[in-house]
Amino acid sequence: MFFVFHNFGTTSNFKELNHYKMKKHLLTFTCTCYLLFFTKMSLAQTTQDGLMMSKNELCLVLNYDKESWNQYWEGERLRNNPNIGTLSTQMASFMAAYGVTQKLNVFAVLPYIKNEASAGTMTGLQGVQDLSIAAKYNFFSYGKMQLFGVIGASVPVTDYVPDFLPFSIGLHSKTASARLIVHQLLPYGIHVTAQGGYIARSKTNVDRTNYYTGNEIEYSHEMAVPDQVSTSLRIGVNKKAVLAEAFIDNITATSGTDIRRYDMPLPANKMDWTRVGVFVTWHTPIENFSVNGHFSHVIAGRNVGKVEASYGAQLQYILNFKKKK
Amino acid sequence: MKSRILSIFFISLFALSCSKEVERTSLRPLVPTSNEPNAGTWKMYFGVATDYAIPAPKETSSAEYKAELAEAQKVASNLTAEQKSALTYWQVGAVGRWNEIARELIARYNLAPEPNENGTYSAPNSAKPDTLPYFPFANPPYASRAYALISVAQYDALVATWAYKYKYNRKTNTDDLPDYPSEDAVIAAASSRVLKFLFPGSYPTQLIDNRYEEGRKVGIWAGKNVQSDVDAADVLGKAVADKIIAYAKADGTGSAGGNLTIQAQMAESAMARGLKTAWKSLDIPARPGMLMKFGEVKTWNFDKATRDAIRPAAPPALDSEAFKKDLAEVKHYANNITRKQWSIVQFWADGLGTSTPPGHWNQIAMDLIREASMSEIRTARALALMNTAIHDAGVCCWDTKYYYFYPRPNQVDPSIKTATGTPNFPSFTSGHATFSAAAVSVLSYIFPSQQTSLDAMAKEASESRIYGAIHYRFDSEVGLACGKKIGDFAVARGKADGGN
Repeated sequence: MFFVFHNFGTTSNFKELNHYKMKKHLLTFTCTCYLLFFTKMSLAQTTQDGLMMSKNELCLVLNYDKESWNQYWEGERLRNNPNIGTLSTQMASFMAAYGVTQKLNVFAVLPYIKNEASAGTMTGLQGVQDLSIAAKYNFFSYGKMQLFGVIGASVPVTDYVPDFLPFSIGLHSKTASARLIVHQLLPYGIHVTAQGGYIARSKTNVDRTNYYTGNEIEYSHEMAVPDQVSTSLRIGVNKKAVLAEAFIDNITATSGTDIRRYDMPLPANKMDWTRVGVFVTWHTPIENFSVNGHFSHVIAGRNVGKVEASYGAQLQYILNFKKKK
Repeated sequence: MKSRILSIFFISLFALSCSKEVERTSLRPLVPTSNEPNAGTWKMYFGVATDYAIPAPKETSSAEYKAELAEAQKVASNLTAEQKSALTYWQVGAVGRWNEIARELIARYNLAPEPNENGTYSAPNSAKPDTLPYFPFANPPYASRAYALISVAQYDALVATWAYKYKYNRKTNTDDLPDYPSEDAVIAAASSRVLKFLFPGSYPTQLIDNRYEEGRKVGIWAGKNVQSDVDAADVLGKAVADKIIAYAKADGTGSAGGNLTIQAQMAESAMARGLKTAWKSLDIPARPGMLMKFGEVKTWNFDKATRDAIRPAAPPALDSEAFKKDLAEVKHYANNITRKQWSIVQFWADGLGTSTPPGHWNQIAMDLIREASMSEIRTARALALMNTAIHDAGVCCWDTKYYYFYPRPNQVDPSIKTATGTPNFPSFTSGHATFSAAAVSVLSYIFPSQQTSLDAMAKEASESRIYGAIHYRFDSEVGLACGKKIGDFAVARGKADGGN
């Protein structure tokens, strides 16, 4: 029983698959959270944790998240904006994880996002964002330590508007990512997981012929979207029917401009953030069915919203395709 | 197999991260089809060429000239990497480059002042340009005036330059165009001086000074000028700029900002003429209307009586069927905008942090001009005609806006959410429509074969504001019609300025 649960948890960690713009939570199962302004979406934690599905198990996850901010960093200056008030974002996503073998898992995530400002005249936006896929491989084990490699990619699946931040649901940029995860089991069911990765992002297309970057006008319908370095650390306990993790994670863009004072944000901005959170999954008495709740809070950032509270819940169900003996 | 997939993956990761270089559109090098030998006789905006006493140059047979030439040739044959890169930058033409520099500074300064702690707003102060709120706030009316001033300075400076070029006819290189005074240097002197007047802050001053030092010398580096060509042009360009600056200081812009007392009086006057609900600022906190007295600023191509004569008739009453119909259309787009319409809204928005709608039309004009391989002086004429028309459009439109003080659709119906920022001034008529139609009137005169596509662009620009839910259709349609009339005054000037 425990074995099953353990796997289950694993499964759902999809969060970061998407990496779409940033996001991550870390704990195991969540999916989502997106962030702040400009970032939206997520991926499964799965790509950041040290848990795995068993061979031929398929985990299906429905995830809901809600987050809001009423302050954001304009460059490094934290400010409010009475013409936005509080920007609230809701996300519903569908995720799947499958154990190809005991050592190789694959994941997919597809989110729907909707946002709205409490003040000002501008319209919120909504839509299906980017499809993320990832593969996670347990390539090394030594005693109670395991190493995983994760590669992932994401692609926008709808023609949403990228250049209307902070309302755009994403940046409409393709991504490819590579991560390394170190997972160490400790006594008493405790584990520690460290993750580091690089997310490459393609240029995005904007609906105008030029834009001011802060130094010059770029006469182009294309805009460079910065790549990102992702790091995270999580500590968790997996006991009886509960898997709980606490995490801190960071996204740092490798290039990009700051939002100018009192100007609008751009997809080309350098969007960084650090968030902390918890992630708790309960494997219910119903076989193969788990529920999850998660919460996170942004503690530092640059050119992103200061999300005070991002919370979410998931339903997870595992189907087992193992041949009956 | 596994390693193959991995290597494909890492190659694609590398490709994504390395492709930050965006695809740019840029002007191609200028290769004029004509030297315009008669352009020295074209009508200037201020005075005549002989107002500027440019002395005769030394003969090419003189020892002084030969010494100059030897010096210039020495420089030209030992160019540094920086000088070579400057040559590449300026070879697209000085008029176009200085127009781009103006657009860049306008984009930089097109940011609205922030509210003070107590909810009031301070006005930018030209004496303290580097202190918040930075001076200037280069909003669309300010920008329309700036482009006109720069273009007129370039045009007048070049007409005077052409007059002296063909009067003295001194040539240094082998093409047919006389080289005294230098056209690059006169454009650098006139443009930089007017720009520094408009953008007195330390960042623009340094940027402009750098461009000036480079732009005036490229003729020497290119082997077509000697130092006296540059020096004569510098004196001429600065003198022309000073005339334009003196005009600008007295054109009424200094008091165009108004104040809340004036705003209340204008609202009252509109109510006295039958308006039921006066426009109010939807910014939080409420912000004084943008340049509420810009309608009083001097126009280029007609007088104040004409401004009043062409002011559009009153918009539909707020309780009329005509109003309800157009409000319903706005609400329809607010709730049902298509992706294509979003794209149109964004393409024409030219909002905060951009070179404004007048800047967008300058970009469009420069593309057409370069396509036609126009000479520098014909380029300057086209931009002066268009930008004076755009400035006049700004004045007439702002006069109309504050005369009628008409509320925006989302003031009347707050459930309407917009797909672009709500401008902080009254609705009727549309600035985008008026600017665009005025620009298109002039551009269609200069490029008759482009008329159909230009008309379509103006119409799309005007409708983008309806899709964005910030304008009624009548704002856009009446604005287009008025802008056309305004542009036609510049066209009439063009037909009579000697350059037709």
